[in-house]
Amino acid sequence: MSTTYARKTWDREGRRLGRGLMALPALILALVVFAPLVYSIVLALYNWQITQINQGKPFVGLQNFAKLFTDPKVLSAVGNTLLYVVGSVGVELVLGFIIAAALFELTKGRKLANSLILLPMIIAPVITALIWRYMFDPQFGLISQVLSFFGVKGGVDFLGSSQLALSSLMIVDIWQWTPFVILILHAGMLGISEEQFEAARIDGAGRVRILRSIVIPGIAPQILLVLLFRTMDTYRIFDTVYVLTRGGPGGATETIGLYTYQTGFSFFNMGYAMALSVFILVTIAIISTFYLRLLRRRSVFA
Amino acid sequence: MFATQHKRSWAVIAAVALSAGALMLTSCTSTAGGSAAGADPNAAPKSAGGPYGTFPGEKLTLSRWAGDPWTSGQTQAAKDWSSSTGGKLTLAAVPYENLHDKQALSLSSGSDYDIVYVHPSWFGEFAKAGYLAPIDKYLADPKRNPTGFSAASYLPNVLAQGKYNGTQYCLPDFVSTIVVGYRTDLFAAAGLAAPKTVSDVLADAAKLNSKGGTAGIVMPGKATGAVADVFGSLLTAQGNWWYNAAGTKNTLDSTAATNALDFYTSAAKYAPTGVLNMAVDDAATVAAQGKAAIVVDTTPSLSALEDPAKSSTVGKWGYVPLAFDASKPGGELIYWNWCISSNSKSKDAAYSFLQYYTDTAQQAKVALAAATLGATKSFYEDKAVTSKLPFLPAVNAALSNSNPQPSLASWPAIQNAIETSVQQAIQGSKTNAQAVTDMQTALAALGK
Repeated sequence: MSTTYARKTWDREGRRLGRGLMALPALILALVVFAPLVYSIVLALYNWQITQINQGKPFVGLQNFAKLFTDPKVLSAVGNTLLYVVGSVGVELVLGFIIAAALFELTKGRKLANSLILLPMIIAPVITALIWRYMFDPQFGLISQVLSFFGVKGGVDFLGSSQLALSSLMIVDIWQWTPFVILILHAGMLGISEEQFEAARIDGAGRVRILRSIVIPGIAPQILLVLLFRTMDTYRIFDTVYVLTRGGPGGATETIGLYTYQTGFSFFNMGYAMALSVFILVTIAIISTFYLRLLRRRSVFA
Repeated sequence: MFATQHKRSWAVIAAVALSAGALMLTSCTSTAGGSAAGADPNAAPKSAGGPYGTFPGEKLTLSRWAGDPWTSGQTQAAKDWSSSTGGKLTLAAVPYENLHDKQALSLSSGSDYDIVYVHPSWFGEFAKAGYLAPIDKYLADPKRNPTGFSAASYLPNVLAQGKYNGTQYCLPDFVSTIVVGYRTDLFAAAGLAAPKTVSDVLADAAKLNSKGGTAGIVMPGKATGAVADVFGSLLTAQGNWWYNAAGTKNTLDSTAATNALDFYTSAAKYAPTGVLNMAVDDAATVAAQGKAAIVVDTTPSLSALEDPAKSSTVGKWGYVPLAFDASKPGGELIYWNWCISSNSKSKDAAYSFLQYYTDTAQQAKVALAAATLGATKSFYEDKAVTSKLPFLPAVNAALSNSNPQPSLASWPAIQNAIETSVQQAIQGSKTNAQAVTDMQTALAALGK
C-alpha cells in the first residue's frame, strides 16, 4: 500500500517537474516562432509602406489579402512556382531513386560514391547559382562552348528565353538537391531486411519485381519524407531565381517567393509582402498536411 | 509675507543667472553654423586642394552604402579630411538594401548621422520630412569654398536635383548616364561613319551584325533597372519623360514611348544570344571581349572597355550620346546626393567634407578607381580623367539634356513593370503598342 502511494506521489511530482521543465522551452518557442508569425499576420492587416516614414500604417483589414486574388502577378508567380515544384521534385525523385538503387547494388566504392554524390548539396545555393550562371552563359559558358564543338554556334539562350529559363532553373535545383533524395532513399533501402530479398530471389523474382514489390513499399515513408521536404523547399525558392534571372525574361521565372521579396524589399510595400508571406505559409501548410497524413498512414509519425 | 516675496526674488535672480550662464556656456561650445569650441570653419586649407576649416575634436558619422571601390576610396578621403581638419569622420556603410531604412530610422530618431548619402528616389521624402539641412548659405560663402567655387561650379542640371522647394539641400556625385560605344576599327573597315542618331545606330548594327563573329549591338536586357534607364534616356532624347517636373502626373507620350520601344526591339534582333539576361556588366563584358560592334550601356560599366585587364578591344571604341535628332542628345541622369542631417551638431564640418569630396580633385580619384563621375564642370576638363575615360565628352553632351529618375517611393515597382513590358515586347509575347499601354497603366496606377 505504502509502495503504491509512494509511486503515485513520485509520478505526480515527476509530471509536475516535467511541466515545469517544459515551461521555459515552450516560452522560447512561442517567442521565437509564434511571436514573429503573429506579428507578420498583424502587419498584413496594415498598409505599411516602409518608405513613407511619417505617414503611419493605416489599418486596412483584409484588403491586402483580397488584393492577392486580383493581382495578376500572384497568379502568374504561383503558376511558375507550381511548374517549378512539379518539374524539379518529380525529376529529383525519379533520378534520386535510380541512383540510390544503383548505389544499393554497389558492392565496392559505395562510401566514396556517397561522398562524391553529396558534394553539390554542401555548396551554398547562392554559390551554386553563380556557378550555373557561368555554365549557362551563351557567350562564355561551358555548356555553349561544348555545344559549339557539335555545330551549335552562337550559344543557347538558357536564361534569356522564356521557353528555357524556368527549365534551366529546374536543372540547377535538380543538380543540387538530387543528392539529398539519394541520401534519404539509399538509407531507406539499407533499412530493408536482407531476408526479404533472399526470399524474393528464392521465389524467382527479378530485379524489377524486387524493386516494385519490396524496395518501393519498403521505402515509401522515405519517399513521402523526401516529397515533403523538397516540395516545401522548392515552393519557397528565391535565391537561385534572384541570382540567375531576377524573375525574367518578362516574368517567365517570377516565383511567389521572389515576388514576395520584391514587394517587400524592392517595392517597399511591406503590408502586402506580409500578406504574400502568410499566403505562402498557408499554401505550404496545406501541402505539408497532405503529405503528413500520408506519412501517418504509413505509421511513421503515428 | 515679505520673507516669502524676498525668497521668490532670490529664486528669480538665481534662475536668470543660471539661464545666462547656460547661454554663455552654449555660445562657447557651439556657433550658429554648428561647430564645436575651437573650431574655425573659415580656416584656409592646410594644403592646396585640401578641405576648408579646422574642427579639432569634432566627431562626425557618414552614412552610405557598402561597396568597393567606393567605400574604401571614401574611407581614405575621410582619413585625409580628418588629418587635415583635426576632426574625425567615420563611415557607417550598410548594404544598399538596408540603407534607406537605416537612414530613415536614424534621422527620424534624431541621432547618429551627420552626413547622409541619399538616393534620388528617397531624397524628396527626406527633404519633405525635414531630415536634411539647407546648404545654400554654405555654397554662397566664399570663406567656406575655394576661390571661384560656388553653386555655379557644378553642372546646373545635376546640382538642381539636390533642390527641394527652391532650397539646395545636397551636392551630387556618382554621376553616370547612358551613352553609345562603337568599334572604330570595325566601322572604318566597313566604311561607316560614327553614328549620330539612334537610326544610324540601328542601321550600323544591322550592317555589322554577324560579321567576324560579332553581334551588331549589345545592351542590358535583364530587369535590374538598367533597361528602364536606357528606355528613359531614349525618352529624354525625344524631349519626353515619365512624369511632369512635380512628379505628380504621368507624361509618357505614346509616340515617344513607341519610338523608344521600336529601337529596343529592333536592336535586340542584332544582339547576341542571351541579351534578355544581361545586366550592365554582362553587356559591357560582351563588348569588351569583341563580341559586339556597338554597345549601349551605363558609363561605369563602359569603363571595362578601356581597361586592359578586362578588355581585348582597348582603344578601339568611340563614344556618342543617344540622340534621335543629332543636335539634341539626351540621357537619363543617374547620381547620388550628399546631404547634411538637420540634426547634425557639426554642420560646418559636414559641409567642409561635402565640398572637399564633391570637388574635382577627389572626384577624379573616384573616377579613376571606379569610373563613376563627378558633377563639377571642371571634372569634365580634367585630362587625367578624360584620357582614361574617353566617353566623358559624350556624357557631358548627354547631361546637357537629362532627366533624373523620378523621386517616387513607388519608382522601383514602376521600373519593374516597365522592364517586364520591354522584355515581353522583345520576346514578342506583347505587341509594342500593348507594352506602351501597360507602361502607361503602371505609371498612372503606381505613381500616386
